[in-house]
Amino acid sequence: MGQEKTAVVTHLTRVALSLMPEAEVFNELYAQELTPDIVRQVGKIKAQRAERVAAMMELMTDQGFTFQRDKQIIFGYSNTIEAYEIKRDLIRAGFADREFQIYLEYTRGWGML
Amino acid sequence: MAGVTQTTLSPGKPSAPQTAVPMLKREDTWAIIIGIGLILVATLAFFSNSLGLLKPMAVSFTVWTDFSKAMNDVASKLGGIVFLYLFFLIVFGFAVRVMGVNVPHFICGFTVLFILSVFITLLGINNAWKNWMEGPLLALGVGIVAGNTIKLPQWFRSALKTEFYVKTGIILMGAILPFTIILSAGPLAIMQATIVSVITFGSIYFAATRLFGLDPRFGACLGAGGSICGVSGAIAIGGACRAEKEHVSVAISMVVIWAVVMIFLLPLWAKALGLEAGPAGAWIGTSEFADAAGFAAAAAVGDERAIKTFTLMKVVGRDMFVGVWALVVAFLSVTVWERKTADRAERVNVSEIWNRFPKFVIGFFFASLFTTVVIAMLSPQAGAAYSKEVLGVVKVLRGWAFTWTFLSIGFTTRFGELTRLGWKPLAAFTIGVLINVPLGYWLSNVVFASYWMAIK
Repeated sequence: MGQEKTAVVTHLTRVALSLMPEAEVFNELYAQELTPDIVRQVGKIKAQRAERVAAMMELMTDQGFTFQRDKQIIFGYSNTIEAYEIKRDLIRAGFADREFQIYLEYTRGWGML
Repeated sequence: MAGVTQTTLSPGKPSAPQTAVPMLKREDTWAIIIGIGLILVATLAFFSNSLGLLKPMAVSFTVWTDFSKAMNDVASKLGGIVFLYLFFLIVFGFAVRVMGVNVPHFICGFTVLFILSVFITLLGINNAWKNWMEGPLLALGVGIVAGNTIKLPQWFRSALKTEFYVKTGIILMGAILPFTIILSAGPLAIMQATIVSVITFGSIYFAATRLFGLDPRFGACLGAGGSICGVSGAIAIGGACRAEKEHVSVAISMVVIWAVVMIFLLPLWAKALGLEAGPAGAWIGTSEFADAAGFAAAAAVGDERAIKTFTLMKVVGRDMFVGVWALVVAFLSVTVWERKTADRAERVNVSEIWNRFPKFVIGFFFASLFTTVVIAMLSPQAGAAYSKEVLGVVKVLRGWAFTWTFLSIGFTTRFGELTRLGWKPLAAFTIGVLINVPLGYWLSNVVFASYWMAIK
């Protein structure tokens, strides 16, 4: 007895924030006749999406998340905040389920079979 | 078994979070490289008539009653023992270096582990007690007593890589199991395992949520731990449904306790009931909770057929499908448990199936397919020679990998460090065990007994 106590399990919470809105939004616009206004609307939608992502990043930064970018997706990482906690906080802050995607990976602690 | 490198929490404030572990730093990857590498090297050596260079490494001892004869046996094989030690020290050492483990610690730890494994292997084949205290149980018992009474130094703990050794062993096991058997018995294994898994998962989940009022995600983790593949199942499903860490911890603790108990109970019952080896192994495959523990139990039956049927049931019938379970549970969690329609719920990626899939199983299938194809392409005489010589070497090396696994299980099972359980999760899990064990027995030894007895 008297061993250094190690965690039974550790976790990594990863939140994916796509800088691109869902494809259906653009499909509806591009289904119409292509005009300069359509292109301006596409630009506005992208800008709105970027603003939403930035707002989510601000909330997550307060929670201690760090970020990396992979092409058009921003990934936020945390070893301390659990998945259900960040999801709860994002929903409470007014973000919809479809605006983010959460991945949770658990890693067994040393000695856990 | 979607294994990643084990970590220890650092005290104080965590540093920058670790991102997902790269493929080259995963135990699954290195188990595949080492396992398949060994099989390829042995095959090349066979075809180049140089297998004699590898054979000394395949050390196995003779059953003994006289201790001096045992010592003479060891002395006569000392060169092979050293070769075996150095070979695995180098390959494992290289792998753990890439995985970020302290290599000097690992070298010291593996050296002690190896010496202990030689001692335990020798002790386990003493004629006086080898029939009632098989080597695996001896390794486990020694490890549990030592691990729970002595403070293990950090350098020794570095070498106790249960999952790594068992995955390597499973891949080597694949080479010995003809692919034709996997094709013929695989569907039955899948069917039987699915019946037991679904019923066990359901009973644990409903007991946890309806009888004891636990959170559905908690119930799912408990159910996964008790029905799919133990700790790996609890982790995979816990991640898929975003269960709380505490719940996953409890589920893992439950699995560890019951898995270790079953290592002793299942072979004991199998022997007491006079079960045939094949059905006994299949029973263990449905009713054991973790691969490493299951191999210990199957090996304790004392018959290679039990190990084969266990592998078919556990690896082919259960482990393979953890990704599918993860996808189903992920979908349930965002729709049913969060009460949202599919179009409003958070997106669930079909890639969950691949992400949670235990990658070492690919190595297992490849090894089996590879040796089966090689044998099929040879003449009957050459094929028989390949089976005897190459697979003979692989089988012995597999045995050593499992011995290191069993010792590691023993040393790392520290009951005092398991999460405080609470009676409700324990009761729910136990209900699952009480259903799983008799159901697994009935299916393996009554309903499908003739199929399992046909596995030679």
